[in-house]
Amino acid sequence: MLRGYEGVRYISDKQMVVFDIGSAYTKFGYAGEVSPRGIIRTEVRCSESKKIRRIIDYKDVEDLYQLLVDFLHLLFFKYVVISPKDARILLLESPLAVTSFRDTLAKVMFKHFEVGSILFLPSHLATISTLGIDTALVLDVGYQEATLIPIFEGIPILKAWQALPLGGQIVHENLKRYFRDTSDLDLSENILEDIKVRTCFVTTLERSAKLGTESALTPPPDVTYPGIKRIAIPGEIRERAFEVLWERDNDNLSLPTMILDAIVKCPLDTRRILAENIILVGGTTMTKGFASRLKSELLALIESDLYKAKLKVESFKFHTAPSKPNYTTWLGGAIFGTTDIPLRCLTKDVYLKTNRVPDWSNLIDNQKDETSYEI
Amino acid sequence: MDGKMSSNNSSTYRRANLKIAPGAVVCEESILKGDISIGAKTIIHPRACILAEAGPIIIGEGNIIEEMATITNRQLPSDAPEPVTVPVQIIGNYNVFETDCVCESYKVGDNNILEAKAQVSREIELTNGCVIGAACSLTEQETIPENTIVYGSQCQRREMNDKPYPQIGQLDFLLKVLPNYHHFRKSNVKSKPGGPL
Amino acid sequence: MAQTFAGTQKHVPECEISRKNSDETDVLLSLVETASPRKEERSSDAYRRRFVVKVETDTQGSILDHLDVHSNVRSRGNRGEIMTSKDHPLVRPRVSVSRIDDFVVSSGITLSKLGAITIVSDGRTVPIREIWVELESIMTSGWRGRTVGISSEFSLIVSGIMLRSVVSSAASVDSCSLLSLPSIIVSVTEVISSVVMFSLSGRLVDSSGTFNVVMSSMKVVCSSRVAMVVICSFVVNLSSSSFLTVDSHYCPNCMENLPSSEVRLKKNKCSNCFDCPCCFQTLSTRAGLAPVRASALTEGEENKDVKATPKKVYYLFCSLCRWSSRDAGIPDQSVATGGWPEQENPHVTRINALIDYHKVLASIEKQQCERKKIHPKRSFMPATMYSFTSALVRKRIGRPMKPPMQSQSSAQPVPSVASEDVDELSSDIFTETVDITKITTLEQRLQHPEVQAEKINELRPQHRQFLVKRSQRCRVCEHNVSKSDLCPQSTKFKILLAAFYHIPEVKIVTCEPLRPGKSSELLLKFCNPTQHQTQITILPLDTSLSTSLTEEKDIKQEDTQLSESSNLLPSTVRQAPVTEDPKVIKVVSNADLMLPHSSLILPPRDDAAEYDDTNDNHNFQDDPKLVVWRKGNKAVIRLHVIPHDTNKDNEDPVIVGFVMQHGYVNTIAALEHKSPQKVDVKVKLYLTVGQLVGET
Repeated sequence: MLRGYEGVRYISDKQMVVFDIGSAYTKFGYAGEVSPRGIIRTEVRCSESKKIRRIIDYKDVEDLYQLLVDFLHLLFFKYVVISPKDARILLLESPLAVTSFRDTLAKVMFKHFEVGSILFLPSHLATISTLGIDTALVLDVGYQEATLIPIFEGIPILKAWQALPLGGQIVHENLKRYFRDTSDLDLSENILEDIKVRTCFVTTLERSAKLGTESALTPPPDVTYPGIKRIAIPGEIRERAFEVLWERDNDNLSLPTMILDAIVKCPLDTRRILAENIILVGGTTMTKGFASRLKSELLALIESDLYKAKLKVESFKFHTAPSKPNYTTWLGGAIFGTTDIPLRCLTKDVYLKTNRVPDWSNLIDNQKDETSYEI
Repeated sequence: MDGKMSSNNSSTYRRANLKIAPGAVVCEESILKGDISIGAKTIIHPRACILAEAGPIIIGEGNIIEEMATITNRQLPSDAPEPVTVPVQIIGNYNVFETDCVCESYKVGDNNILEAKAQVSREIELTNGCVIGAACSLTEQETIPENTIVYGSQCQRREMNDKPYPQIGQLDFLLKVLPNYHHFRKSNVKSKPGGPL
Repeated sequence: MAQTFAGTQKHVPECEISRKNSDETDVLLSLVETASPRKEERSSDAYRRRFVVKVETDTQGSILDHLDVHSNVRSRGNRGEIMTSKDHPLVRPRVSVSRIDDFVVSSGITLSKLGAITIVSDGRTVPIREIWVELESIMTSGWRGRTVGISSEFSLIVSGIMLRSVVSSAASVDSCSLLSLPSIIVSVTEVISSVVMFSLSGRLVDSSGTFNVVMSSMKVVCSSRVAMVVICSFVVNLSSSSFLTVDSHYCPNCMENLPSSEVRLKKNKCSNCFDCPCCFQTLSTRAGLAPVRASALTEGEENKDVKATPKKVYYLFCSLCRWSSRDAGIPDQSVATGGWPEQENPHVTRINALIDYHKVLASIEKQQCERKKIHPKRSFMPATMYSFTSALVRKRIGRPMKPPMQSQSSAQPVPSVASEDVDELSSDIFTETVDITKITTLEQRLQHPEVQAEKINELRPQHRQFLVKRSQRCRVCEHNVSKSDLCPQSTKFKILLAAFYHIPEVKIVTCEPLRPGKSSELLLKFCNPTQHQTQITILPLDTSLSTSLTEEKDIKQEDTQLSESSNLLPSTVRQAPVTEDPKVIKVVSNADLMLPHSSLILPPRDDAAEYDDTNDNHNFQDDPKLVVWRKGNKAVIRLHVIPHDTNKDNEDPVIVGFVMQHGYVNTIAALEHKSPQKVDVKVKLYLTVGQLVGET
């Protein structure tokens, strides 16, 4: 039943709105488009404190609810410009993300904005839509953490998931500590991010080995960073900022071991194929030198005692998606969202009746009941 | 003329150090203190403030100094070592000092623009064609490269393709209009052959 | 001072605006908009127009309060002088300092000695000397020269040129949104928190339907979800039980209004207006003469034209950071509008192929489902995307392991090929010096996600995004509670049922210094905005609103039935309202309020009486202990506050709370019901009355 005032809504009804709400940046746009309409920081002016707050800094669920209401209001009416009422939303979410966030998000969407339906799409799975293949090892290095799920023949090998708190955040902390210790500067997150993006890079494995030792090579040139206050960024820190991603932690884990460990956990016959179908997504992977460092680390590790016995893989190959890595996942969602898939969506009616979001980790939704597939 | 000037003593002292080239428009209500030379076609609005505290200020041609703008050759801090020579502040040609900007820079080249509320402190040398954006302030010692623009709340910088155009039209307009409403300080270097061109 | 301005004021057109005379408004706006901010293009007429700001208000004296607020703000920050009228008629409200920070963060106004402000109050003109109102960080160019009308009590006009010269920071996300929305109804919240200084004069109601009045600073910032609280008169319903819908799209720069279908086609972007890729301000088009030498050197064809007549060319220019399309190497255009080269996404064909492929897959799945009468269970596991492509499912349903798609779909695009080669780090990076001013920031890169250029000169202007006008509807009955005029230039409303016009206004006049355990006098001013006499009763905070709620509910049901019978909206159309959990109010009162025993009667609003000096106190039998002053539809009452002993060492401000019950006559529903209905509405109010002072 078409009511006059709903004109705008009905026209845009055909297109799904695709959100990829990351911990640092939110990618938004419409399904079927080749790039997101925009990428904005996942932050909003808190209605109580009047300060800009990041969504990930929420204190409790109530606080998160309020932040999300404000943030989505901004998204809907300023950026996506669509009436949220009865809109179809596609949300990309990591299967490894926090449940309370996902539940609160659904609550805000349905109860406050009264959206029509939400399709939760696992981000790693969505990513392979951009490649036209159905087997890939997806490594997502974002802001808070790096997550990895291999996908084989369209099925995620959940058993082999990997996650480490390695991402933009830890690099920022690394930089912040450096500036605090050397020049007693307490730089804001935004400036640190800017310094990171504009001046820092991932150095090569050979140079990295010599860093901090006496035989260290000449560091890259220093950079003077003008602004209200001038900041001198020594070449050394430019080179070392990202080293924290590659250092082994107490459990001997780092980014490259994530990939190798995941492959080890996969069945034997899939290992070689996965190693030759790696795709890197997430903003942090766009750093200069990231991919080449990852590759040389992998090749070095595979020869080391750690993996030599376990794993017989000779080469690693990387895919390039038709997009920038920081919005590849969004693009996967946008491609997937064009197909007509009403059955997979969580509709408003169902949500209001059950008042919960089905989840793979919940036994109610995930019983081994595949009878419907049998002939 | 001479006798008249010596009769009122305080203003005589001030005026003795003030050299205004012919063609300059210096409004009576402007605040000028100390040893100042003003070049031809330079326009000083009412309430503009030029203070030569530590040493002389030499202002070139075709500058526009708007109201509330302050150009100071500031007294060095007391703990600083005594300078060998008297610090001279030199302002080149065709610069614009917009409302309420503060310029203490010891050397300003040509064709620079200090937008409203901009601040430039002493140790900074402005070369040519720089734009200091509204409310931006520069405090740390450096030489600003040519054609740099400083803008925005974070004082971001960029190099411009061209330098800003000299404000010829604006100058002509002011030269025509200001005399209708304001009293001026007379130019006083007519007789001197070596005055600013 | 007058002399100072003599030279310039001559060229300043009087920027006056009157709400009653919209024609004048148009004249003003057009004048302002034709002037370009840059000096070299300024005509003599435009010169100095930037200093003129006129503020008009009809709220009694409220502007003075606000100027006062500023002086506080600014003296804290030591930024510039403030001049306010020292002899303004009202008791100065105290400003609670805790809020001032917010104020500075969200915006700031510096008042210095330039420009002109005239305050019109009560029909008299109160000259406040000359003031330059400088708006920092809250103005984007899209907002230039537009009227900021706040709840129609007030308007502030800012001339565009001034803004250019002082906008020093790119507006933050929030303030952008508000400033690019000319229609305030939609963004009242945001304007409150940003343009603050020019107030909503104490009329802020938060979403849970309670007043949240913060002493005088309430005029500055209040809880942001304040939103426009609207009253749906059909189901006397306060609170945020309304939802927003997008009404129309328009470009905030050229004010073009497009139908939504076209907007979709244009991807929500204006085809004529561009944003600066460097600082995100709106770009202006500039005319220049074709550089003869350059064209002679490069283009032989154009050479002839140039020789004949100097050709006029156009380029884009940013007035804030002076970026120009010439910087980016974009060739100048010979027409003023359009023709700028668009950047194509190099992956379009590839992505379209992938989309087609996925559509095919989906349709195959659909067919299979229908043929086999199987219904793939809704899968919430991050399992397969298409059941039939997955080997697992195929195995389960007994089909061959090999995917069938090769034979079935010709649409399959070339699968992506992985490669061992990755982008190596170039060795230059270890030796080459970096000029930071030539590398783009992350923000600049994300402005254009498809390209994310790393070098400044690779940036390209971006089309300006459309903004929307929104309307609000009641969640229960879907009646419109606020709807703005469709025309983008207009800031008026077609429908506006703001609570402002229905709920008595409460203002704090003064409060004696507060000491724990001691009683202090609190003066509150009530004003009745309705056309009906109302009785205001102050009840203790713990009065359950439930009694009034049941009352309201009764009426609600009655109403619903009646409106259904009146066939306004058939019940079949109406969906079950989605109820949002009420927001928890976390404000805790930390002081007792001595409640009065009698209630207060306020006569209806009478516009004519505003100008009538004769004493017409309606001869109400007021309790002299309660009512201190009365004029027209306004009255000041005296209450007593006793802060609790417990919060002696507390830095928190003292907050008192009470329930205000007032009679409300529902006239809109009366159109259908013949006779107006009277309802007692109860509203919870929390007042921040100030800080504790010492024991003495």
